[in-house]
Amino acid sequence: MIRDITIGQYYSTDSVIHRMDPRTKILWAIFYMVILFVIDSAAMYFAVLVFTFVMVYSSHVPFKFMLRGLKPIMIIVVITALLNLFTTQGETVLFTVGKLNVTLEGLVLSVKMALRIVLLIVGTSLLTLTTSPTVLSGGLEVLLSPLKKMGVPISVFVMMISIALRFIPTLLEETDKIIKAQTSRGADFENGNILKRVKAMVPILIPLFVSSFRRADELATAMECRCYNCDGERTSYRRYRFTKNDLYALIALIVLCAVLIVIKVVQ
Amino acid sequence: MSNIIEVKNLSYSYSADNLAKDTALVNVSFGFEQGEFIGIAGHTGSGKSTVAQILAGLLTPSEGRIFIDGEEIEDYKEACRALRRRVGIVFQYPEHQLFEETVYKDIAFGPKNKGLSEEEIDRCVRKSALLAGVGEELFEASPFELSGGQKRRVAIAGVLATEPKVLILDEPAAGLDPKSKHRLLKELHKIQKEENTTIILISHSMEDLSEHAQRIIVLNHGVKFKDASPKEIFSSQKALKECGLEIPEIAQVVSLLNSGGMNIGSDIFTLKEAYDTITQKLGVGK
Ligand SMILES: Nc1ncnc2c1ncn2[C@@H]1O[C@H](COP(=O)(O)OP(=O)(O)OP(=O)(O)O)[C@@H](O)[C@H]1O
Ligand SMILES: [Mg+2]
Repeated sequence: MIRDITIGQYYSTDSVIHRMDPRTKILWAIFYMVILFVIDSAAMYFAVLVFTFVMVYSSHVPFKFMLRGLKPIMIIVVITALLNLFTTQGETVLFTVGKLNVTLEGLVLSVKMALRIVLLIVGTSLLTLTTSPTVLSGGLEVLLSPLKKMGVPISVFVMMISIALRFIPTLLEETDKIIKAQTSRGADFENGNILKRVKAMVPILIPLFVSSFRRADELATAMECRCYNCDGERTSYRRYRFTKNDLYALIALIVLCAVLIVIKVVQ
Repeated sequence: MSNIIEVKNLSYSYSADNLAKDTALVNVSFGFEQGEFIGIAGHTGSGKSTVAQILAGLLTPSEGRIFIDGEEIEDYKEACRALRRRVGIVFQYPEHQLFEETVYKDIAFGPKNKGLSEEEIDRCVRKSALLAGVGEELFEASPFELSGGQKRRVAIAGVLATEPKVLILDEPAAGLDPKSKHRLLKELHKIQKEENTTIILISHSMEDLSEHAQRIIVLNHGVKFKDASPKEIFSSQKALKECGLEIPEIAQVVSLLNSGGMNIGSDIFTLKEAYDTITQKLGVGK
């Protein structure tokens, strides 16, 4: 189960998307999110769906890997869908469960919401899947640098994000190990009611917290030993250049927008 | 005597859908009896930890057959459950699994999960604490304020308290000073003798294995390379080297002495044996 969690992971391979400038990709992801919250008709959803499909395909990240990453959030998707299904008021009542009416509007809305969440996760995880943490934080730093003039501590913020990303797999590995160790001592995480299961998490969470603090402490010391100073002016080893690929990406974005606008106008 | 646990043609791959990818174990077969002391050796990444986790019922094998008390259990899920009940595992750096407020409570976690009565739990805790060398004066201390070595003992006591028939230890001596290491290995012997527990010790150190294990299983790139007594294993120095392992240093000294013309026999692998033989040969000491 633990190995299903792919949030924030980098999938190392070569593809057009991997080679893109991180800044383009970040802007891209932001734009993609905005689009997801703006679209409303089925045709628009279809357009974004096709587009996402093409993106995943061209990123050379296996679909299986993507789907595995979706598994842990499926429960959220299902709950949202169910809530929308049963609580939406509408005119066409399809059927009734107890006192709750399931309407056509509710059905449409719940499908839309589920699709929206799935697309949101797929689209944004594509960013971290195709951009290594170092490159990602580098790009983020450049993008956010205007805020520096306003006194926002950007480099600290970026460092925090890159450390967080870097430690997700480590923490998952650690969690896996602790779960195994406690299982071997007879702990049961799979059976019992909710309260029991929550209680069963204690023997996992405490060692996890303890080791996270220990790691954080060690990391801080190691960084200080190498003279890390968050106030200093940092230069980058990497230069980010706007290349042909980025141009393609922007063209793709414009095409997507055009399609969406056409759909909107036609309706 | 018959094997309490036996695996046949065991294979394991870390990639769920492709057996040929991320393969950690290939066609490994072995078994062991109650009360044996077995060593598992192999280079880094040879599959030692993987095999240990399968034996402890924590990883489901990709392929292979599992026999418990001579009977095959075909359903892997059931086999894992049965293995978990019989096998205790001490992971590398087991101190990272401590979580309770007091040492006593932490050691009691295992027996409590088994649903034992208060008195039974108390008996288990005291017995395993004694075996693992945790003094009763530590019972009320927080496990987080102990030294590294003490923490490790508490963690080992926590596993012992589940009274496993088979105890697997994955590099238990990593990061311990020589004295603590010695004590730990001695305690393992005590557990083996007094409780008739099967001990499976995973280690890089051929010195430790040669001194304690009755049988050593050598893994090489996920394949079982050899399963024999220490004497037999160390007699083929060259083959062992190809697996990335060395025979114990003292055995290398003996072999050098032999090739230098001082004939003292070739199957000497522990310091004590070497000392005895050499002093005898030289006619000093007694
Ligand atoms: N979680 C995992 N995912 C994928 N591959 C893994 C995983 N854990 C181990 N492996 C691979 O399986 C093989 C065997 O690993 P294992 O941990 O069993 O080795 P080991 O003999 O215990 O090594 P060490 O002496 O370093 O502890 C290695 O090639 C390793 O890369
Ligand atoms: Mg290992």
